[in-house]
Amino acid sequence: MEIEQGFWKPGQGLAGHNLNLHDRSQIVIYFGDKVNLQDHTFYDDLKSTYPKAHIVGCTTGGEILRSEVCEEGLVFTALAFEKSTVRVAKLGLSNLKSHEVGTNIATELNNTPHLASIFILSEGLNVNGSELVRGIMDALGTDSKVVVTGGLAGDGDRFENTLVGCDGYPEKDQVVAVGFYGAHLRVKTGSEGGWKSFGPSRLITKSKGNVLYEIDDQPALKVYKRYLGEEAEKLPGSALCYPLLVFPKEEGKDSVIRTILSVNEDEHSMTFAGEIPQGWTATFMWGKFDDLIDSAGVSAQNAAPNYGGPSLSLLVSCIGRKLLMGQHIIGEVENAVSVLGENNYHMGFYSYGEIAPHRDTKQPLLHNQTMTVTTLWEDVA
Amino acid sequence: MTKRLIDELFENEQSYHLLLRKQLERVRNHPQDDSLSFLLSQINQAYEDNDRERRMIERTMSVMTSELNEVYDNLLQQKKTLEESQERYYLVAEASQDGLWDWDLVHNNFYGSYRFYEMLALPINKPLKNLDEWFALIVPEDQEQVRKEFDMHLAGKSPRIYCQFKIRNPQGQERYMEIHGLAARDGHIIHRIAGSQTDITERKKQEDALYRSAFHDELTGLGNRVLFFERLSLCLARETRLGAKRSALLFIDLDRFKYINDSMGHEVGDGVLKLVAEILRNQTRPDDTIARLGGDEFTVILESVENLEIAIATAERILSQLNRSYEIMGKEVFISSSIGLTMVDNPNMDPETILRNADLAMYEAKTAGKSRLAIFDKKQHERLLWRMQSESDLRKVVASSELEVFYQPIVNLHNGEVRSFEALVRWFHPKRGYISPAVFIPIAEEVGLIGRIGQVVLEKVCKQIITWEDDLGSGRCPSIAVNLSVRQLMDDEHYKNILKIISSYSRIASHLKLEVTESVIMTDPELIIKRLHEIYDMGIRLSIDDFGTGYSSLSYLHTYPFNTIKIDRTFISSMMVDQKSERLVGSIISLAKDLNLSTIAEGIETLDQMNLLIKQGCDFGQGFFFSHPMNAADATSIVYNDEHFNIGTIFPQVA
Repeated sequence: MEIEQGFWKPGQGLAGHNLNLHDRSQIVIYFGDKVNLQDHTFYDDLKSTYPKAHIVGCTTGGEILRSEVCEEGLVFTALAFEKSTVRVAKLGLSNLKSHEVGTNIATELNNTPHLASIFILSEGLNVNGSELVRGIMDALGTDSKVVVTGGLAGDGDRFENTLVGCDGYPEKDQVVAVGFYGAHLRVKTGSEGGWKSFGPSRLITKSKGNVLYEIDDQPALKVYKRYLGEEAEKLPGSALCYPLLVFPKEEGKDSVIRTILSVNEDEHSMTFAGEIPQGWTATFMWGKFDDLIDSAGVSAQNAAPNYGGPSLSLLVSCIGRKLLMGQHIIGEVENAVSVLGENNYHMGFYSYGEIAPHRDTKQPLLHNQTMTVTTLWEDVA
Repeated sequence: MTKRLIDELFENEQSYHLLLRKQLERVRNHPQDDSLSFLLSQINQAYEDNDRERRMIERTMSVMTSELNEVYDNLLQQKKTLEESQERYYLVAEASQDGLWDWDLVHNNFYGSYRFYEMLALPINKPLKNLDEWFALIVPEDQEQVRKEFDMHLAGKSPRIYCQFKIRNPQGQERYMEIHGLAARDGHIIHRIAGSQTDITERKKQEDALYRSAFHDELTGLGNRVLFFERLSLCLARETRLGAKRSALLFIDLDRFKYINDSMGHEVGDGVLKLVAEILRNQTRPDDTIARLGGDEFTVILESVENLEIAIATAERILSQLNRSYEIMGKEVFISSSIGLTMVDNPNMDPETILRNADLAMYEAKTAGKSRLAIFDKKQHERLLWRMQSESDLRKVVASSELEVFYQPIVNLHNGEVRSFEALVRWFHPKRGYISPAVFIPIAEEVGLIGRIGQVVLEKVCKQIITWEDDLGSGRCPSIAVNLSVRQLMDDEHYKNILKIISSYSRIASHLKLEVTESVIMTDPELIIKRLHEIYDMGIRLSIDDFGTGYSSLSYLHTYPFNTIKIDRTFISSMMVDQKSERLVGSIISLAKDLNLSTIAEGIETLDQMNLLIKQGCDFGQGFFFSHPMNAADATSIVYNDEHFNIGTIFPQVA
């Protein structure tokens, strides 16, 4: 497997890079700021550089490349496999429900044998990420060996709209999936948050889908604001830094972290980046910078390649972590890449939701507030 | 920023914080005119980031602290409530008459309140260690039941523990306890059972006394009717089990107990009943059930008697003890009893039917002459049913005074004239037709109806005499003889009634004759003589009936106020073939003449008999030879027409 990466910069394009794969590249993945993606030049540049490659990517809340976190940039990685193959699939969300989109896309990719892994990029604001993943798994079957990872596109801290592209200019309301095929392809994943729950457990007494109305029979927003204190004034932005842990009865393998996307002052409700099932229990969480940074290291460790040749790690971290830690976010990237090895290339983005197998159940889920790492390599030795 | 400054800044780069290194790296990679201010803004931002984290941590700590305080306050409040509840519980436990207990299943610890130990007479300073030590106090026969009760509740098969048992305390005293208990469940896991214990010894005693009074006869201490039926039902239930031995039921009724009671007083009567109870206890086994159903009726259920023979042997043993004289309260009392026996061997029978069968057998024993044992059988049953039906009908007919009186002419053997009749009661049953007095009179005597029948007949006869006298005048009015039973003469009430009737018809007293049998006189000669004289003094003529059959001494005859001797029919029927009878009849007639008594021969059926009697000088005769008893209309016709029986025609044939 050959890998080459770089930045695309407005006005400069791909200048300054020594790019060699050209026709040999089968897939190019890019992550970039919405302003850059709306300037279609980037796509034209990539397409002309890699004419035979599928080109997929999305908008972000920040990009990661070579131990650096940048904003308002655009990063890309081109891959040329020796023995493996790649297929892509794209579906619009405007006419289909999230679950159907997941099922249809996974069915489409699974049509071809030796599917090893799916990397999915989805619109980040209107999709029901949990249902999307469930749809994929319904098509693959729960005992499937196919590794499903990915993330929801971001829009900085604006939360206005996100774009996803596949072999064309990026568009709204798209879900794109890349299928990696072949017996030599290896995939490892990791997903960790580092958040800690605190305070009493509270019963989710009223919720619907991903909207939370009441906890302990009290208006959810009122309870939440007490916890935020002065940060409540900066809602909804500040809510990204203070997620909830939700679980069926007791904290354990079914526990998931949920980030607040928006609040409704009139209804005293909160909308989350994932389902908040009624009858489950919730606790508040707090993320100490050091804990979050450490968790990124653990996640990367779990996804570290046990192979000396070239490998690619795709880092999908949550926008909430970046907003919370500010410049300290560089710590989590440094910590992650430090364990991935010398021949590892890495690239990533800050997302509105991470998709990766659960640490214990190995079933893919939509996560919030985690750093997820997907490492791919070809074992041709 | 000058290169020198940048070089200085990077001089110790490796020892800088990762973030500062990154910030310097950005300046180095992008050297610009305002790089110093860019660097400073980066550093400033980092401070602010740190401040934000610090504030977040502080706020989190503050929220956690306030929530911990809240939890702590709640716990304090709960502790206070718990202490109050504990205090209340303690006070209740100490004040309560009930003992409280608590078994901790997890650690197998046992707790009992002060009262709990007190009622078990155990020292409080040596508490029971576990449930087994408690159970060890329970008497062996109750232990299984208590353990079962606990097991049932532990298995979730009973809503609560409730049981009564007997304990033996360390002093060896037996006390009755009642416990209630409830398990605390967490899902399927039970970690404790707690409850109360009450000393119910006194209550139990009262219950026992109540039970005794509900199931026992106070006078004799035997079981009562309720207990009897309960035991008989149990006995029948056992019959349904395979291999169960048969049982027998005895129904014992004292003969003439009323007489003992009336003549000797109730105290003696009670003494007799107690004595019978004692005898029955002595003659039976502890398993047998003896009951007094009421009055002088007793029952004995002989449990598992193997066969009828053994039951009979027991019954006869009892009978022998119940048919002899005893001294009761200084008086000699002759006890006699009749026993009915039936086997309890048909589980399909109900207890009432079995009792009725034994009762019927007893009834049979009475009918057959009392002081004996009778065994129930089906034919006897039917016979008795018939008899009982008759009895029932008889009561009705007596009550409605529908018994008819027939009249049998008494013929003057000198001239064939009919100057008197014997009144005879007749019963025409609407379904069964004519029923002979020989059948229903004993029934009437047995059931105490004879006195009433006597009154009905006497009253009808008196009315008949009045009719005749009114129509014919006193001179031509014949007399009518009415039989008096022993009961009518012996029983004060009946006797009074007779006198009352006679008094109210005193104007026809000379036309009324009363007949008493020889055996009647022998019952209680003294009383009977007295009463006969009273009647005689009221102007009523008296006849001695069935003369010759009893044991009366002829020598006594003159002391009675009789006008007439009626010679018993047995002599009349046998005198034609038996010279001894013939001589006896002659002697009676001769004796009568000596005593100035007239004679009537009963049961004359043939011409020869009549002729012989005329020859012997008998004054009057009656019997089918002359006429069957006839109804009032026919008798009236004879009287009004002054009909004579033709003696003359007949007489010469005899001569």
